[in-house]
Amino acid sequence: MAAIEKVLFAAVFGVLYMLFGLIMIVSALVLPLAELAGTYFIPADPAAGFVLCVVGLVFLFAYRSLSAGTGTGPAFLYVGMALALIFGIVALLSLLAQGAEIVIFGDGEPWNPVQILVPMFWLALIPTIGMNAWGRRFISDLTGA
Amino acid sequence: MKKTIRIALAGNPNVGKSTIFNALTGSRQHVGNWPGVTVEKKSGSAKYLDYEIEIVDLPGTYSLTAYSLDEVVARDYIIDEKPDVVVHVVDATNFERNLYLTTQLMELGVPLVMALNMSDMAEKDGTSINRTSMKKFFEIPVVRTVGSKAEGLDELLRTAVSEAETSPHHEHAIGYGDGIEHRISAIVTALGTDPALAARYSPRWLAIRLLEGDENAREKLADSPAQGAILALLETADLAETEAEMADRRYEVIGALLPQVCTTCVKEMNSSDIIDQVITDRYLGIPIFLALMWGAFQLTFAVATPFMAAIDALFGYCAGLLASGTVEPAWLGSLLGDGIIGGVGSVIIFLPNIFILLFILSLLEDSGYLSRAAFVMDRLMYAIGLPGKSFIPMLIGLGCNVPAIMATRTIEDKNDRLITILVNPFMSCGARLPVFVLLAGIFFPTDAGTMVFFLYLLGIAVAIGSAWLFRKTILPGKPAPFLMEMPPYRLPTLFTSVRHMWDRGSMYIRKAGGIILAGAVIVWFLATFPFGVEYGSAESFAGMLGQQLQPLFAPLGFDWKIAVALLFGFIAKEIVVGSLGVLYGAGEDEGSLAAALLADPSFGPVTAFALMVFVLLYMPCIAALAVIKKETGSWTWTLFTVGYGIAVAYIFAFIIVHTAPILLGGI
Repeated sequence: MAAIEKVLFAAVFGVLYMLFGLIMIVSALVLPLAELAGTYFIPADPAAGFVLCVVGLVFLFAYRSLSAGTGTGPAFLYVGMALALIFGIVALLSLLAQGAEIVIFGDGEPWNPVQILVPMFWLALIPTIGMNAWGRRFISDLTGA
Repeated sequence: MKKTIRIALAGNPNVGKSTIFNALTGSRQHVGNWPGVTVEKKSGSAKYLDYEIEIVDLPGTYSLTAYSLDEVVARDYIIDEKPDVVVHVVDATNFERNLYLTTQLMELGVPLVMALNMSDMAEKDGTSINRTSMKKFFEIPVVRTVGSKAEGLDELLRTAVSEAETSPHHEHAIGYGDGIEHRISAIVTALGTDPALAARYSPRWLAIRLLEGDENAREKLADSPAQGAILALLETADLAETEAEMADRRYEVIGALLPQVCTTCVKEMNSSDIIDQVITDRYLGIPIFLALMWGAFQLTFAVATPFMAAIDALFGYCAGLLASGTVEPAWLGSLLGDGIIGGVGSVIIFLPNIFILLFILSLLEDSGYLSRAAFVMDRLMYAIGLPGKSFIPMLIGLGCNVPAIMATRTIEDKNDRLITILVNPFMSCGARLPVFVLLAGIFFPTDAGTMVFFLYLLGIAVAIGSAWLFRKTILPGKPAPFLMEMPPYRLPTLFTSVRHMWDRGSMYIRKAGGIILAGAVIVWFLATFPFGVEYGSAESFAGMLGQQLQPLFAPLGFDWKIAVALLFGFIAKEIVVGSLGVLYGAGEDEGSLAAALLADPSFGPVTAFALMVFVLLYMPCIAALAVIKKETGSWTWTLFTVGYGIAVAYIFAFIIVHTAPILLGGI
């Protein structure tokens, strides 16, 4: 992959993570926005919003460093993708566990699998692909493979 | 006839000594990917050919100067106990740094074998260490080992046994230059007038330590006839200057030898370096730490839910059987239903949360992240007057305060260590988790994970704030600089992390069958008697006791049942939930504790929040108090911990109860 693609990738995901993170924080404070965001499966959760902002910041640091051509750019990009992946797994496991509880032990109320589609989960999908494409050596160093 | 030999495993912190110890002895000492896991020496045994081998795992030490308690343990064992062989475990991926201790061990004149551990990782990074050259220059046998895969351990035992049987040993010496060597010779000559002392300690080593200003070495002269002459010699020397010169000389020797024994020691940046550029970033380090902790608590709460529901269903079924009146006499049914199922069951239901949290902490520890967390927090810790090293025991406290308080032995300065011990109980251990999960789940169902995360953060904040207060008032001083090596990041293996989780978490199962069961039965007894009163009523012993305590807790909005639960929570924090389970009759007629609390008009979100904060802060459990007494050696500090904790908890709960309804519009 050319460096320009990494720069664009970092910029786009930096902005997306920051945007959704801020929506989740503000939704917790402004009720009408919470209702609107809720229809798009964006929860009014300030703590989770803070987490998305942190991941967004790491991507934006990556963008700044990659644009400037400093050596730390790839480090921010890899770690941003790794954090996106970690929190994507956290979101997926949390919602699957919630679904399992409703389906197995619930009082008959239905569980809609679409609820999994919170930003923390679906935003992580593309960075996961990015990690696979760009981070093979990075991962193999850690696994000892 | 079998021969017995003793082998001591020595080395820098986090080089894999405990891993080798476990592999050789079949023990399961806790190992972790950070320095300071072993703070006391551990002993185990192994067999090799005709030899019974006692193996002693010593705490990690960077030098034999012995500034901190764990270093003193390691050094005293080598010097005073005189093992037959010292196996110096060296991290091959950090070869140069480990050699400083090698030079000091060589000076001791003990039979020495070097285990080049983690050799696989060093080789993978391109580091090539020539063992033949090593043996030539250092005059000690060198064995390649990979402790985690048990590679090279047979050869290590064979070499160690061979060294133990070899006599005499070659004495190694680093030349310190004419000026210092002259002083060393003079002291060695003076030591010659005390043959007993000279036989006990290597005279050259003792002379070097005395010239380095080692107080412990000076104490060894206490009753010696050579003391006067030696002290007179020492008075003519600038000991601080001499110590620095000797350290420089050792590094010069290492610097000269290194290129001849190790090629390609300079590596290109690896994944660990890449991650550290971001994780320890001055601006992003703390936000990333907070985000990861949120993820840990989110998973702890969410993933445990179906497991909790399953356990709840099981206890509900048992309670249903008891409620059907099949157990006679009635008091036995009440004991089983209200006492044991209501009390112990209320705690067991939260075991999935505890195990999941411990599993995640194991993942973070095994990956090497927790060392970075300590590093990231160092700036903040230094600002409040504590070394970053103090944050490691605080992080351990998230699992259990008992090992956390013991882990403060790695802190050199007495006041730093005391402050770290005193604030450690504010770190929320796993035993408090059932209280948080129960109340947050009932009264803050949509934000329960975030609420639990907030409580843990509050514990950290109160600990740091208290440390600042102690530093400014009763325990003044300046924090020691924080020197900590960063272990490489490793992808944790499922097996290792599950084992660590089990090692720490099984304690809670044992507690459920022991102290919590006993506590639940006592509370049941108090709630049932005297004969003829309504179970759990104000006329029962529990009610009478609670009503005596209730005026103290009335300003916090806590009724007598909560007062009794908090009183018994002193034994173990889980008993708060167990006691509430008994007093609310949670085992009775399949009604869960959650439903009983929701139905109680005196319990609302504000009371629940205040109670969670009170439980978080109010006092250490009895086991933690015993360790505080042992580690501080003082009843005054132990009682101070109790009094201070109760005062802080009371103030926080009082503020919450009286401000939250105003701030939140009367929830």
